[in-house]
Parts: sequence; C-alpha cells; structure tokens
Amino acid sequence: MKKLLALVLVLLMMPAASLALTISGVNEFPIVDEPYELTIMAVVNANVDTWKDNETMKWYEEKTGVKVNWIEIADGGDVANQARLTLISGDTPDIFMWWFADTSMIQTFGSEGSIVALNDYIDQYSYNAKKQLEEDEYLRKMITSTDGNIYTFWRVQYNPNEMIWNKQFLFMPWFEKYSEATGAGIPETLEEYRAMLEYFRDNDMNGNGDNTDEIPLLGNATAAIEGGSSMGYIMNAFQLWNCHDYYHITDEGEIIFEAITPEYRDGLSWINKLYEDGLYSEEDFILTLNDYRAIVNAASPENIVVGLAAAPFYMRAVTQSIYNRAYIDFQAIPPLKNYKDENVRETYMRADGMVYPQTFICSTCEHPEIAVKWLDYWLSEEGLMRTDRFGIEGVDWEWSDKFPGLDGEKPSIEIHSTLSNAGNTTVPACTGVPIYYSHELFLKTANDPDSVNRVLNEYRSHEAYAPYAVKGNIPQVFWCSDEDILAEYSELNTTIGEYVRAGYASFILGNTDIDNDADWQAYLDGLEGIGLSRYLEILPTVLGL
Amino acid sequence: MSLGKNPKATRLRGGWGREWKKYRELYLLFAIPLIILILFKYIPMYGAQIAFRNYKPTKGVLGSDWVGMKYFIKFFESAYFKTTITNTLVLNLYTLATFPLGVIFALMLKYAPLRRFGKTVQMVSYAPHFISTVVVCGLVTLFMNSRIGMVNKVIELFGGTAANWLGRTGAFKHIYVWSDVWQHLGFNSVIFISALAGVSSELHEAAVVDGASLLQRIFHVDIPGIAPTFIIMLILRVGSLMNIGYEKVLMLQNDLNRGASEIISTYTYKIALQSQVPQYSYAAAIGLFTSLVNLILLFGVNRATKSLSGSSLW
Repeated sequence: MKKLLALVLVLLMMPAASLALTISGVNEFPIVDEPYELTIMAVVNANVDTWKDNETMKWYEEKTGVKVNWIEIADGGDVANQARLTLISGDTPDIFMWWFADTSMIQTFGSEGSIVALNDYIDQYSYNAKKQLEEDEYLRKMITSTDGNIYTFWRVQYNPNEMIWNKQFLFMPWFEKYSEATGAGIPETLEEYRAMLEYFRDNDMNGNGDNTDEIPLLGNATAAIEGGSSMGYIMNAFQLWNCHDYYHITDEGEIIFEAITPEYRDGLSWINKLYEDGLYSEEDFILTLNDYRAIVNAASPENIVVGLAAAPFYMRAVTQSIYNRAYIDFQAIPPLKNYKDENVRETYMRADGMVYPQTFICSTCEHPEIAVKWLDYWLSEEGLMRTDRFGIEGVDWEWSDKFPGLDGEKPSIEIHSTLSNAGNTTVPACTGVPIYYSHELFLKTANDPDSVNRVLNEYRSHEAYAPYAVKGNIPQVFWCSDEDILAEYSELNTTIGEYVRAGYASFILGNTDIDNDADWQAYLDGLEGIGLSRYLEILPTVLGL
Repeated sequence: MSLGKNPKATRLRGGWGREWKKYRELYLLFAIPLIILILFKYIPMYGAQIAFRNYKPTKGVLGSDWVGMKYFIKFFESAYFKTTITNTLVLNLYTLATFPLGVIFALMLKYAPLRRFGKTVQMVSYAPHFISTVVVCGLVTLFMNSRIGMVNKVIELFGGTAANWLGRTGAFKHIYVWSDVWQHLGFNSVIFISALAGVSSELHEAAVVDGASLLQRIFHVDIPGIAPTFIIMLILRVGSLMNIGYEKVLMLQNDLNRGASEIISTYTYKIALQSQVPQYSYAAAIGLFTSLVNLILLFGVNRATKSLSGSSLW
C-alpha cells in the first residue's frame, strides 16, 4: 500500500519536476517549494474592502507559498461584463474570481479555450473538488456544461435558510391573547387564518389604547421575488407558488405556469377580499425594505404594530439587535391547508441546496495545477470555516461540548450571535472564493434550546415548513450554449415577472376586478402580448430539459 | 502678391499663417474643447452601429453579424412600446409645462420689496438642486408615506383621508413633476435672473416716466427683454424631450405605479443592462431611436420659433 502510494506520488511529481518547480502532492501544503506568483482578479464591494491586506489571505500566502498579485475591480453590478472584456482582450489574470449567471459566456470562452477546462486538473491535483464531484451527484450535474466540461469552481450551500421563500412570522404575544380569548390554535385553514387577522384588526393588541394602529398582516412586495410579499404564503394554500419565476416543473416533466391558472384567480379573489376588509395592507406594495423593517421591528412589545410579518427569513423582517426577543416572540407558522382539499398542505421549495458556478482559470495561467490547488483548499471544511460564513474561530464561533448539534452529536459548533468581518479579517464567502457548505456540517450547529442565534432560528423556521415543501424541479444552474436564446429568456423572464407582479397588485387592490371576466381576460391577453407562449416554448431549451 | 479670381481664398491662403501667429494662444485654447468634443462625442458614434448588429463582445463591433433594423422593429412591436412612449411624453411635457415657472420666479425675486429677502429666497430655493437624486427620492417616499408622511398629515389636518400616493397610478406624474420643480426651480431661474439684470434700465425709466404700472413694465419691458434667452432655453429643453433621467423614476417606481412610471429609459435599463444577459444592441437601438426623435424635435422647434419670433439657436 505504502509502495503504491509512493509510486502515485512519484508519478504525480514527475511532470511537475520537469518544470523545475516542485508542486506538492494532493492536499499537501505548501503548494510550491520556491516562490510562485498567481495573478487573481477579484471584486471589492461591501463585503471586502481590499484583498491585499486581508488577514486570512496573508495567512494563506504563508501556508501555500504562493504569492498572490491581486487585481481588484469594483462591483458595479457589471462584473460579468468586465470578465468578458478581460477575456476578449487576452490580457487575462490567472484566476478570475466571481460568480456568473450567464453560463453562455463561460461556455463560449471555454470552448474557444480562453477558460481552462478543469476536468483533468481536478481529477489529478485536487482533493476536495474531486471528492465533492464524486459524492455529490447534484453538484456534478449542475456544474457540468453541455459539452461535458467543467469550467468553473463552485459555491454550494446546503444550509436551508433560503430554500423556502414564502414564510410568515407570527407575533406570539398577540397570538396568545387571541388564543385565550377565542380558544383558537395556530391557523391551519384559510378561514382560521382570516379569523385571526380579523381579531388583530379589531382589538387593541399592543395595549396602547388605540385599536386602530394594528396592522394584521404586513409584507414587503419590493422583495416579492425573494418571498417578501404577503400574498405568496396565502397563494400556496391555493396552488404551489414559485414567487421567483412563476412556474414549476412537475415530477412528470410538465411545465406549469402558475400565474394564469383558475386556482390563481381564486387565490387573488380571496386576497382581494382580505384587502377590502382591511386585513391586507396596501403598504405591502409600496414600502421599501428598510421602511418595512422599521415598521415591523419595534424596540419593545408595546410598540409592535404588526401581527403577522411576511418574509423569506427572519433577517428580512426582524433582528435581534433592535428587538432582543425578536427570534423568540416571532415564530414561523406552517403553510395553510389547500382551499379545495384539506389533505393537501404545501409550500414551494427551490431545491435542496444552492449551487453557483463561480471562479475560473484563464488559459494564460502558466500552471493551472497550482491555481486549482490554491482554490481547492477553500472547498474544504477548514477553508469554509475561515470565511465569513462562520467568522473567526474563538470569536464568532467555536467547537464546544456544551450542547449536541442539530444532528444530536457532540462536539458541535457553538455560534456566538455576532458575526464580524471587522478589520478585513475573514474571507468573504460571496465574492467568488469556492465554498462547499454541506448539510452535515450545517447539522453540527449547536442546538441550544435557549439560544436566540440567527442560524438556529432560521433553521427552526425552515423546519416549520420543510415537511410540507414541494420542490419545483427547476435546475439551479442552467447551461445553455445559445447566447441568443439565453438573452431572449432573460428578457422575457424580466418582463413577464414584472407584468405578473403588477397584475396581482392591481387585482388585490381592486384597481382591476378579479371577479370580472373581461378584466381577467385582459390580463391574460396582456401576458400573451409580451410573449408568454414564446417563453414557455424556449424554456425547455434554456433549462436543458 | 497677385490678385486672383477669388480674393477671399487668396486672403485665406496668405492669412492662415499670419492668423495663426497672431492668435495661436486662442486657437490652442479652442483646441481643447474641440478635441474633447471629437473624442467623447463624435468617435463614440462609431459604436452606434451596434444598433444594427447583433453585437457580441467576443466578436467585437465590426465582427458582429449585421441584422439591420431588427432591434428597431423589435422595439416598435414590443408590448411596452406604447406605454413607455406615452409615459415618457407625459412626464416630459408636464415638466416642460412648468418651464415658465422659472421666469415667473425670477420676476418675483427681482421685484421683491426687500433686497435682502430676495437674496435669501434665491439662496434657499436653489439649495435643493445640490441634493442627490437618491436623497430626494428618499425624502419624497417619506413625505408620501401613508402613516407618517408629511403630505398625508397635512391632508388629514384638513379633514381628508390619508392614502398611499406613490401607489396611485394617477398621482405619479404630479409627484414626479412637482418634486422636480421643488428641487430645480431656484437653479433654473438663475439664468433668467441674470437675463433680467441685463434688461436696459433706461427702458424701465422711460416706462416709469410714461406712467407704466409694475405689471405693464413686466409685460412690455422685462418679458420682451428676456424672450431670446427664454426661447433658446426652451429649444434646448425640447431637444432632450425624449431623454429623461431614469434614476428618479426608477427609484420612485413600484408595482402599483408601474403603469405610469415605466418610461423608455427605465425599460431600456431593465432589459438591456440589469438583465443577466445584457442586450447591448437592443439598448443601442432604443437609444438611437430616442436620439433621432430628439433631433427631429430640435429642428422642428427651432424652425417654428424662428418663424414665429425671429430668435433661434442657429
């Protein structure tokens, strides 16, 4: 066995030795024995003010023996374009670090050879990347382009926080008053839900002597595509509602566009009645995210005016830093039963985890194997825990035996409630550094029953919904080599989305009458006018179905 | 020096060298704006051809496929064509209608009884011009807020009912235009104030001697005096009729008022630049189209004012 290992190592080192630069074995550090320099183009934004002086990167330079020449570019919302121009100019860095939604760009430059195909390099030189591709079928599928090559590294997150969008958080002190007065439990049906909202509307819930300042239900529709609007939660009781793209794919492979169905119309009609009876706030559609949070997030219970807050996760509605019982007093309530069939209770879920293609190696890189090894480390658990997902060990988190993890085992990761990236110390995880946050690692989070920390509460709110979650089968990353189709898709996706949102706002607020067939038909015709049929026609091509 | 058939040409040939020697500092000074104009206004026009091509950054401007009028037709046939054009025109014409307010304001300042009061008002009124659009939009959103907004508090004071004004399609243009007036009125009147200062005081004295009242002096001395300035400013303004900054509209936009607030530039911004796959050619085509309309309007208004009042840009 030892001999075999030695042989493998020797074989691995042979090509490296011929370059007069010794490259370490798989997963061994330092990577090089003599000074080597990598040029990395990276983005600076709110998460990182400079890469040059980042403490963790300085430490990593010592660990690897690779000196990095950082080329920093600003995040003007147009990084993909800068990448494109850099690639065209031919004056490329060794590594370009950022995430890319435009897969056609990666594939175009990949097939031209400007971006290095990583398959062989990963196979030969990486440890974590290779392991992850072997073990994680989903990741392999998502990250492989249509020509079979892998051109980018990845950011994978199996933490459940962002997987279910349409949640609502109930202010428990109000609910307890309501429950005492009427004997009702947490609402399970639309009728019970409505009854609770009516009680909130009619009574002086916060006890300030004014029974008109209560807002029974408030959301934030400016973030509707991320589950901020109140209507998404309710709509899930009528049909599965993907608030981001308005379609889902059934297990049989059929594409269902949700914003034209009779169930959708029933749902809007029901919500319209909520609005007419003062149970659904018009402000939902107007408030900016900050204004919304300012209303929900009062500093003390008697100033709370919102009974039920819609948000995809806690941070979008309340934070502990303003209302210190926020994560205790606000509790996620499970989805409601379907209006037709009370055995059906569902909510839309995107996928098990998020996969982002990010960070590629350019063909001008002299030693792609060094670049691969440099990036590979960050995919390890150790690498991940040096990013700002966790923060600094001992300050933001630590391994401890105090509580079992969510998986029931010790030691677990005890997270201190603050997360600091003060002084540019940790590596920001959302700026292109490859990371892999596995579900197993997530379950190592200490399950402290009294804790009010962010991660735990987001997990618990997710748990309230998870049993009812139905996945929409939309691939998280779609590889499409046809740039024109992708551009057309992107345009239709934007315009149709805006049309749908403006449409339901208008129906809910009664500007157009949902129960009037002419208005409904006009809405459908308008949707057709901006190209719904064409959209549904090109979807299978774009999604690679 | 012989006298040829064209004495002017001869004078030029002989004169250039002398002129250059005599005025070279002036020519050098003139060269700076000229070069800037060529560099930043004329050379980029070369890139406008991507409106007729299916521009791919990978292929470059000349290498991209020629598609002719495809993107123009796409825009004309788009479901948003009518709405965006209408909204752009409504917002712009409405703003244009408030243009004379600058003159009225300047006149009021000129005849303010206390000189110091006039100066203070002028100072205070043009201060908002220097507030950035983001901040102005933040202020507007707060003022319009249905719970704590100043506007609604005032309305309630007079017995009205509070409403989400930013969510009303019909209210959008008023909010947009009048907040614009508030922000830029003072600054826009500066040029008229200086034009008024240039009106000959002899004319005023003559009018006073003839027994003209204040209003008569305004109508028969001041207004004719600043009419050329006014007309030139108006022509320039009409020349950018189809152009409207997208920032303010975009920041005041929400799902409820989109019917009134989707204008050409916000639409272009969303389709072409904000989208995951940017469509440069489509954006360029829309941009070129609006520029063309602006150019036609500019010529039209220029000709109209020339024949009506005799003053014009050229």
